[in-house]
Amino acid sequence: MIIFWAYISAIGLISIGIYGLLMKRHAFKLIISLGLISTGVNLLLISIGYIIGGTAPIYPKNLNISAPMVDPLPQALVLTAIVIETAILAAALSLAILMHREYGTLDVRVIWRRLR
Amino acid sequence: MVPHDIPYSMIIIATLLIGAFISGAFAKMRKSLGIITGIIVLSLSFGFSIASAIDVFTNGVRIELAGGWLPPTGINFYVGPFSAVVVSIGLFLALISFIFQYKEISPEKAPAYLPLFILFVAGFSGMLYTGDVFNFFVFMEILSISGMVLIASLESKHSSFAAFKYYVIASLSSSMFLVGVAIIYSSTGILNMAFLSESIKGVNSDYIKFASVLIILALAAEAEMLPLGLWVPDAYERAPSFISAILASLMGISGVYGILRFVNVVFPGVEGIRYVTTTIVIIMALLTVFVTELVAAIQNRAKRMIAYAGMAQLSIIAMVGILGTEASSAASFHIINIMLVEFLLFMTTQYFTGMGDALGKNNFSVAILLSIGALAAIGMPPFGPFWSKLYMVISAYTAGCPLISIAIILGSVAEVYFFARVLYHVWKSGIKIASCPEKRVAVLMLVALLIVLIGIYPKIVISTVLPKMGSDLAGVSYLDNVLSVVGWSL
Amino acid sequence: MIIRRIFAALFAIFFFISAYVLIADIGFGNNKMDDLVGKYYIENTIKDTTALNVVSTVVVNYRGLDTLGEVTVLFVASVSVGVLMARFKGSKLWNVSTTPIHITAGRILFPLIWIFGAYIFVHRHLTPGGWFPGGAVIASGVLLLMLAFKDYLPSSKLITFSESISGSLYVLVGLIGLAIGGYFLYDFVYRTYGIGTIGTLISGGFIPIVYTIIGVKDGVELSGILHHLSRDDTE
Repeated sequence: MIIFWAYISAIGLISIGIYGLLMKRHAFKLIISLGLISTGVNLLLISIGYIIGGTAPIYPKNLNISAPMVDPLPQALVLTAIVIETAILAAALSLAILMHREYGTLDVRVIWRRLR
Repeated sequence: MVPHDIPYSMIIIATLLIGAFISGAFAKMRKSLGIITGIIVLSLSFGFSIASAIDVFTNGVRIELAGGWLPPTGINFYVGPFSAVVVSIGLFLALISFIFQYKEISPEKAPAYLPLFILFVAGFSGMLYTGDVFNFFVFMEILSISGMVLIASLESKHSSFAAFKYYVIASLSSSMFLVGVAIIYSSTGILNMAFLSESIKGVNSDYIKFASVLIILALAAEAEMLPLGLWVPDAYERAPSFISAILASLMGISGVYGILRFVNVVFPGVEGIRYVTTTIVIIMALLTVFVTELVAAIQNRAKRMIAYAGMAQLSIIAMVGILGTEASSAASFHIINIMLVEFLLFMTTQYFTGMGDALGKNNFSVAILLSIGALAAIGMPPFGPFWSKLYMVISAYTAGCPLISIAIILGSVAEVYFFARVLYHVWKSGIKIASCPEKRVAVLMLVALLIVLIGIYPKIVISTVLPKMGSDLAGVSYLDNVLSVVGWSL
Repeated sequence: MIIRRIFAALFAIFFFISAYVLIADIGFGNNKMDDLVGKYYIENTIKDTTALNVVSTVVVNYRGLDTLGEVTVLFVASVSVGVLMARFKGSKLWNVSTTPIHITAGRILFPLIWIFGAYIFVHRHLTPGGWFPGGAVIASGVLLLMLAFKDYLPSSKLITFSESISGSLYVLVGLIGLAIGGYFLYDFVYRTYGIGTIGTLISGGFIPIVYTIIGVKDGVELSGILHHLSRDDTE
């Protein structure tokens, strides 16, 4: 099995996030775990576009390219994906604040029981 | 009849977006200004969507390019008969919900709430129009985030936790979707739905099967299929009624559309891949129908029960829609009916909790509306869903899946049971015809009228609208339509 | 409890291994550029738009609709926080104890932060996605002010109006493109009027215009989110 560090870090982040999602009970920690998963996915997405020995897809003034350029499309996709995650994060944090107001606690298991 | 050159879908999105941006500013000055802006924007968009539908039905599928770049370099909107009709209905229902609810919005919340509502509708429209996989993701997120916040927006009891549950599932599903997109892109280098339907065929199919599983699971969370649709009962129960109505009819339908679009068009008819995608959908859908109909029967809160029933209906549509062109026509018919019926049912829950005791005496008009909705949902004639369910049962049988037909019939039997319970509670205390506390119920009568009309004259719908919608949904000549604009041929 | 922890850890490890095997199979760093779309972007950016930054062109021009969606999602975030926090009308900020260290450091750091943000912003044509980090840095400067000076609150009216105006401007640019060129979000600056030469300040079609609009929107929006989040019930 060949080691690609970019993929290892991306999937590692996702795995840590999954572990956190399964184990933790505090709402903020769940939000952080989900954020980790999203970050890992973004890292994965951007690693897909890499070309070994490639250079950034920006033309210098004299338009001479020394090496092949990496794929610009995943970078555009990841830009959008990061912004979308930030938005979800902001909304989720506000929800957590509201939950705290209503229940006095952020332990999801306690809240679940109270809902019955 | 309508000018052909105008890119209606882009204009609809642009109108909704500008409307969302400025309604916030206006509402900060004075709440009524914001409300008026909202009504104008929604009505304008509704008008444009009707024009677009007329255009598409007379002149054929319309491909609209964003930025003037041809696909696959640029993003294109694919305005087919299905999207045109469903967006029109969705905008109509959104307008009605908006008119219904404007008094309930407090002036402090209005500058933030109004844009949110309009953006929800914009996300819905974008999802249905787009022909690009990542663009679909972006609009899906617009829909999903605004839906999540709308659930908790008016701060009813327990709504924040219901929204949080949805957040966890939505965030997971969006990550899964992105991984699927990453795999697809790294294998094919293309993000355009039409082009993908060809290029995926040439790639290692194991990756594509895995990617398709991820994407379908992600879409299933939106389409309220179990096991990912666990957020639905709580969310629909705790959200304000006019929000649940919009969630059910717009968000659920767009999730099902996503599944059908991806299964029928993007993931191609290559043996192995199609087998994987259709099996997953059918298994999840059957599971959903079975479990939700059972659980609905033991509910004591009508709103929750209606939510469960709605989940079952959406899964039925998803199951039937993957079976072929004829079945897709049946599924489209049911989509139209379900949008109207679910909307009506949830709107009436504004007026009662529990099982609707004594509505017949206290609020006669609402009782009538609820009865129409309930009978329609069961599939009684002379309401619309009777015909669509019949059509679905027949077409599923002829397409070779009698199991699905049986599931639909059994599901309807279960629905008879629990909706009959509701009707008993509503009418058991007698009738008082003159009682109707609120005037705004009148707008809901429009929706009920449509349901009745479709039920009495199904032929009009079936002959004019359905065949084209069906073949659009089944993806017939999807690729050819796009290619004809690009100027290639394969 | 322990069992659950072990199970969760095992599941995460299992996921890690299986996902990694799958992804590694796809390969890393291969030259996949004989694929259709990426190659087109790289080869044709200068011809199509006179911009030097391929990613900016992709973001604003080729996939401009995605960027419009992205800006919309950011707006959704801002109004989400606004809706959910609207109940809290108290203008008392977080119970942050400010010390003279905060105040002095704030006074020194804040202009530096804003200069840095402006730098990212102005050089947006050289850094891909220059608007988002630029706006975020500017918003973090605002956050510093809020933490250092207890009574400072960015003006809510100004924020709402700026958001609305800049958002509508972006859609209007798209509509102008529709009117002039026949397509929504058409790059009318370069493709119709031919304004711009490669490598000068005025280049890249309508990319600078769009980037400016959404950069301003982003900075304002994030500051708005901070404003909303800072309102606290006096408990």
